[in-house]
Amino acid sequence: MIPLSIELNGTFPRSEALVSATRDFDRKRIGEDELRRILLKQQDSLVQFQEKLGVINFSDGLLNWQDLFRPFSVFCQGIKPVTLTRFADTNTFFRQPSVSAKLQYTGQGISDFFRSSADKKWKATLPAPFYFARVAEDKHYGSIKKLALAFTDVLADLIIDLTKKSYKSFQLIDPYLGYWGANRSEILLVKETIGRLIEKTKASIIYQTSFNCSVDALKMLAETDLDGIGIDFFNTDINAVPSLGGRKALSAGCLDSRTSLVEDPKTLAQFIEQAIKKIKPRELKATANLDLQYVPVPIAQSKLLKLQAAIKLVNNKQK
Amino acid sequence: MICTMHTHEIGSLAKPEWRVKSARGLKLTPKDIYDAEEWGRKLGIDSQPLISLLKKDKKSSEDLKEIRCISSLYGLRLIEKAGIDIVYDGEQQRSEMYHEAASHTGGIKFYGSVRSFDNKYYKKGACLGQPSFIGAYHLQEFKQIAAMTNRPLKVPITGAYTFGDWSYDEFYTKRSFAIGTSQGRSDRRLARRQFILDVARRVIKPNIEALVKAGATWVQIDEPAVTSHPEEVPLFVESFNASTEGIKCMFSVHICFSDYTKLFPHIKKLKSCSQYALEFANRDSRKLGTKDSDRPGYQVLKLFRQHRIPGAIGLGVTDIHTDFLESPELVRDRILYAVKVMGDPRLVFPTPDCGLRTRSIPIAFEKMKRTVDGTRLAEARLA
Repeated sequence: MIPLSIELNGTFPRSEALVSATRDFDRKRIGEDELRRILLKQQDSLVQFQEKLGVINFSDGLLNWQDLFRPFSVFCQGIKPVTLTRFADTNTFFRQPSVSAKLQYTGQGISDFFRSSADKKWKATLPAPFYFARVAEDKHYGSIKKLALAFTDVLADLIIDLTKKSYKSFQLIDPYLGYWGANRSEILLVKETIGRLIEKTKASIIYQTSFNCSVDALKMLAETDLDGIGIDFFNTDINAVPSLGGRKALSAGCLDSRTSLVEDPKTLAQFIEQAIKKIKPRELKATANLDLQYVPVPIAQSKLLKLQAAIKLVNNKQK
Repeated sequence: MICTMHTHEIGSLAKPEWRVKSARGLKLTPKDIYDAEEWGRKLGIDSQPLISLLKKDKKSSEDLKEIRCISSLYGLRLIEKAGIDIVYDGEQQRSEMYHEAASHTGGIKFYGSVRSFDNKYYKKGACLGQPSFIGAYHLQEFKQIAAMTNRPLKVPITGAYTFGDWSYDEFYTKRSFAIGTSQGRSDRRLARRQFILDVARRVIKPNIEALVKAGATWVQIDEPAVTSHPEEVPLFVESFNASTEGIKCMFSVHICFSDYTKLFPHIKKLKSCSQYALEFANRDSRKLGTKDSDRPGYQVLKLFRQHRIPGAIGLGVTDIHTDFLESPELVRDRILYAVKVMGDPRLVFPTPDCGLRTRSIPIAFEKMKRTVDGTRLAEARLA
């Protein structure tokens, strides 16, 4: 019987209360303490919701991250947020990180961005080194490779710090491989960053791709020492995914985070069974194909509840 | 000096606290009242009728309409005072570009807020039935603004492609969830095309027709989403042409924070687009100079020349996402560089990068003023 679970992928949507609070904070209608109170309230509610879903590795939803790179300008020297840049084909933007000096992890303020508690296993969502290196403005290193490896070292220090704070699982986000693509040497660079990160941290890492990842890239990921691979099944054909031979976890993006239509548990269950049969993962972590922040909270919750129902259907059949 | 270049703004300005709080039914502070008086004085507006309305404990719907209308006057006068040539009201009567259009369209239901960036959000709607025209949602606003000024007006209106791209679709896509297959992707593409073209023909076009009938001579179609799906730029072109077909008016398109290289060569097929208003300053260097290396943010202009795209450029010369105040000399050099590439100053309309709604009113004013001051410096250099 293949273990099945649900995990949150990336950033969770902010509640209407948090949306209002952040707007009010920007307009100086409320102070930092009040904003933090409302943020913690949604984080608590998200943790409770994950308990209800039976999640094993908990996410704090990245609710106070302004984008996937912004916190690094706080706990890593050498990075500054600059140009507002569209993320892939979405209507969501991030500040391009600009690297103007040697990257140096300081660890300053990480507790503000990674919630933790000893009673739970936590999962951290982080940008993959290749993704960072491809989107950053490089004014210091002079090559994608040098920058990617320098950022790998920053991630390694961060992961080591987080493992001391009950973080057990690390999800590296890389939409670049799937959306923009990578040539042979870039795929090899991805492999090198993964090897270096695992060697330094010995951590359990899932490499979460999104959009339509190439067969070559997926094959390379399957050959590494990653704990698991994440795939966007709304943009990647299941037949393009290599067999994992029971060695790795599959983080299966089978909820479409770009649509308000809520998936049907039976269709999801059929897909999960098909993925188990064709890809042969060690375990399957069902998730969304991208961050659920692209739908409002009630829709995100409905989708996750349908996924829970689908997993029950598959588990009942597996018994 | 002969002015050879015309400046314009792009669209939105921040709404004053007295406008926002009145609409939300919140209590106004003495500072809100002071701001209304002070800005009225600065802009040469008699603020007493507004103050009387703001001081009312209970405001009727007519009072709120009047406050929105006065807010338009404040926005318009602010833009005029900055010296902008072609004006509007900073979209003071609208909620937000997507919400305004979608909330006045049949078949759309709102589900909640989705983040755009940082602490900026938009309420996202879902298409539950064929989109339909309920009424011309910018008409009243246009008539009021036209009566307030003698300067030429440019009416910004949300385009069909962006409307469709920013909406969920539960009508055309229906419940065809094909997970892990290419069939699902192709079904979704066909559904999107039908949705966007229906919005163009059934919603956007009747709105433009109503504006033109009421005297609008320049309509700017806002399409910030155009290159989000590069493979769909031809669909944007199709929707633009469907929205404007047979209407006698000057049309321009505003696109921002996008990869403009994806527009080529498809935009050659736009049938009636006289100007492309694009954001550039956000991606440019802040140092002075008119060499290629000084102006990295403006290199894409060369593609307009290479592809012989007819029409002018609305040249974003001030970054709308920072409080950094561009010097008139920096604005001048950005314009001079663009004129060098485009080959004719009449093809360059200096503008802020986008709507200035994320900036405070004093910063927005200063950015518009520097757009104008830099333009005049550029004209002097070119004379």
